[in-house]
Amino acid sequence: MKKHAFSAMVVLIAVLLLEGRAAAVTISEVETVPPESEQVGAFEARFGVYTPHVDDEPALKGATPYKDTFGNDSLFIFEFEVDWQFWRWPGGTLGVGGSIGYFQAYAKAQSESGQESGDYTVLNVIPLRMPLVLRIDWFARNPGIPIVPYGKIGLDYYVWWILDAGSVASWNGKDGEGGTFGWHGGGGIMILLDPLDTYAARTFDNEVGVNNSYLFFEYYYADISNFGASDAMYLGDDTWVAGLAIEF
Amino acid sequence: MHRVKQAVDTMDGSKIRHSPNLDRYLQTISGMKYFLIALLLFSLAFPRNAQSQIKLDIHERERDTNREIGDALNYSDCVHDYSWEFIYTYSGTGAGYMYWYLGENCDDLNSRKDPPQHPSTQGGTYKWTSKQLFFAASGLADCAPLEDTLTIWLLVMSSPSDETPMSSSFLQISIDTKGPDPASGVTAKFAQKGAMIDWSVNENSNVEDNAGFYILCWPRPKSIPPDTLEPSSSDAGTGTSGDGGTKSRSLNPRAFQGRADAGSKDGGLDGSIADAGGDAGGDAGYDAGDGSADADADTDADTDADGDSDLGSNGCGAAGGFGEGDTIILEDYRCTGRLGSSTRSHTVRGLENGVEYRFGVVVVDKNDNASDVSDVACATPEDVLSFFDIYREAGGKGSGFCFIATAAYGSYDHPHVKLLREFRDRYLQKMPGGPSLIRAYYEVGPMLARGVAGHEGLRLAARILLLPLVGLAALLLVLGPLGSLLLLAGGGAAGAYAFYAAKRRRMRFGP
Repeated sequence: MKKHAFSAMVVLIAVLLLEGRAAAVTISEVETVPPESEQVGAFEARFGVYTPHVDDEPALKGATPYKDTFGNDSLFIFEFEVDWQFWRWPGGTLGVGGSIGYFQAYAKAQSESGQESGDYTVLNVIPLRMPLVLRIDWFARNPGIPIVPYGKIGLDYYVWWILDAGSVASWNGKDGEGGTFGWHGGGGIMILLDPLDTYAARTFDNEVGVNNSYLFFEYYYADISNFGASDAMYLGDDTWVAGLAIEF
Repeated sequence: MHRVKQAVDTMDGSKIRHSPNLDRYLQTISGMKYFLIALLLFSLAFPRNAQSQIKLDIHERERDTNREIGDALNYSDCVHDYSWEFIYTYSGTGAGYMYWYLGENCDDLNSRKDPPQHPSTQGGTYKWTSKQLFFAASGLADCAPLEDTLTIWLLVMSSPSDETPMSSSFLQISIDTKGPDPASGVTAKFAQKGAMIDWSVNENSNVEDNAGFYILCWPRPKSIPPDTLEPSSSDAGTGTSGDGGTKSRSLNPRAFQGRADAGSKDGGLDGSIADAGGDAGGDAGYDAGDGSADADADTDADTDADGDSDLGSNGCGAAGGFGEGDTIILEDYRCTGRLGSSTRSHTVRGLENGVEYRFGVVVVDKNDNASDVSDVACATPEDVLSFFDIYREAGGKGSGFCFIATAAYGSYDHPHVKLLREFRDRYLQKMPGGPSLIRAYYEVGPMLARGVAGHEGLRLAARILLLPLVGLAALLLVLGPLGSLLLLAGGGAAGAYAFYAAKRRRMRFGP
C-alpha cells in the first residue's frame, strides 16, 4: 500500500511540475496583480495510515496483543496542524506548531473460551504533537518550480484509552487509559497548487488572506515510547500521510 | 303593441290598471309581510335561540404521559379504560336539554340511539370512558384492532324526539388500536453483562407508521433504562385475537384497576353503553401481579405470557416470560427505552453474567400501539476480553497519565490553587476520564511537586505552564461552559477578523 502511494505521488509531482513550469511563465507575464499579503502561518489537514507499534513494547517479550486483537491492517488516522512561521529567511520559513489527531481501532471482543461476542473492544488514540517545521519555498519563489520540501521534528504526547463493553476497560485495578510521550521526525514535499489557477490563488489571498495552497505527502517516523521506557504503551509508527495545506 | 294598449287604457281613465309587473311586485310584498310578521313573532318567542351556539372540545383525558390530548384513542387507552372529559360552551338559553350521542349523523332523528341527557347550562363538561368510545365505534365487546373515527354529538333539544335540534355540535376523534407488524429475524449474541440483539422488519410493513422498537428481556434486569418517551407506563399490546382468546389483551392488571377507576368516576352517566371489562380476568395466563418484581422471581417459569411453552425457540434452553406472537404488557418485559425506527441492532446492558436471557422485539406505531412479540432468541452474558486484558496479560505495562502537575504556587491556599481545586470538583470530576485523571494526578503530583519545589526556575516555569489551565478554570467557573464557549468563540472570531483586516490593510497600503 505504501509503495502504491509512493508511486502515485511521484506521478502526481511530475504532472504538477510540468503544469507549474507553464504557469510560472504566466505569472511573470501578469504584472498588474496586487502584492502578496504577509505570510505568518500554515494549516494542514492530513490523513494517512497508521499501525501503532504496541507489540514492540519490550515488556511484551515477543507477544503480539495488538496484532492478535486488531490484525495487521493499517487503519486511517487524521490530524490537523497549525504552525506559526516565526522566522522567514530567503530560502524558506521556520515555524513551530501544534497538531491534534484521532485514531481508532476496534474489533469484536472474544470470551475467554474464544467465542466471538456482541461486544467491541476499542483502542482510541489522540496524538498531540508540537513540531518544529522547516519549509524551503525558494524553488517556488525563484525558479518557479512549485515544490516546497520540508522537514519536521518535534515532541509528541499520545493520549490513549481502551473501551470494553462501552466503558473504559480495567485490569486488576488499572484503568485502560493513559498517555505516552515521544518524538517524531519526518519530511515531505508540498506541491504548490497556486499555478493551477493563478487568478483564483491571488483572489484567495486578496479576499481571505490565504497566500498559498498545497497538496503534500509526508513520511514520518514517530517513536512514542516515553523515550524508551519499559512501562509505557508503545504507539509509534513510520508511515506516509497526505493532505492539504494552506499558508496564511 | 301590447304595452301601447295598456298605456292607452290607463290614459282613458275608464279604469285604472297597473302593469302586470307591478301587480306581481305588490303581491309579493303582500305575501312577505306575513312571513316577516311570523319571523318577528318567532324571534320574540325564542329571542336567543336564533343566536345559540355550542362549542365542543376535549377538555382533559387520562392518557399515557407521552401522549397529547388530541392524539387518537389507542389500544392502551382502551385497555386502561381511561377517562375522556369533553367540555362545551353553550350561548343559547332555550328551554331544551343537552343530549349526547355517539355515532354518525345524529342530527337526524332516525340515526340517534338512546342518549343520556344533561341539563342545559351555559357550559360544562361531560365524561366518557375509552371503552365506551371504542365500543360505540366498533360494536365489539373487547378492545381489538380497529382504525376508525368516532363522532361525538351534542344536541340541544326540548326532547329526544325532536326531529330538528335547536342547536348542535359534533367532534370527531380518531381510534387506532391496531398495532404494527411484528419484527422478525431476531438474533442474540452474548456480551459482557449484556447481549447484542439484531432484528429485521417485514419489508411490506408500513414504514411511515413505525415509531420505534423495544427489546424485551426475560428475566428482566434489575435496572431498566428510562424511556424518555414513555417514562411512567406503557401498556401496549395489539394484534388480532386469532388465538381464541388465550392471548389476552386484557391480562394487564393495571387495566383492571384503570377500568374500575374510570367506572367510579363515570358515576351514573354510563348510559346504555356496557362496561365490558368483566370478561378479562380469565385470560391471564401467568402471574403478572406486580410487573417486574414478579418477573425477576419467575426465571424458571415454564410458561410464557400466553400460557404456552416456548422451550427451544432459537436455541433457548429455558422458557418463561413471553413467546413469539404473544401480546404482552410492555412494561413487564421491556429492558430498553424506545429505540429509533431505523434501529436494527442494539446491545442491552445491565444483565447478569451466567444467566440465560430470552429476547424479543416489539414494534410500536405512531399511536403507541405495540406489535405482537417477534420471534425469540436467547443468549447468556459472560465476560469478554478487552484489548487491555489481552495486552496486560501479555505483559504490557502501559497505564496511567504522565502529566505536568505541581505545587508551584507554594501554598495550598494560593488563589490559583483554590481555583484549580474548584475546577477539579465542579468540572473535572464529572468529565469522562476525569476521575482517573485526578487519581493519576494524586499519584504523580507529590513526586513532581517535590522536584519542582526545590528550584525557583522550575517553579516559575510550572506557574507559567499552568497559567492557561488557571485561565480556563476561571473562565469556566465564572461564566459556565456555555458562556466560556461563547466568549472563546467570540474571541476567536474577533481575532480571525482582526488578523484578516490587518492583512488586507497591509496589502492595500504596504507594511
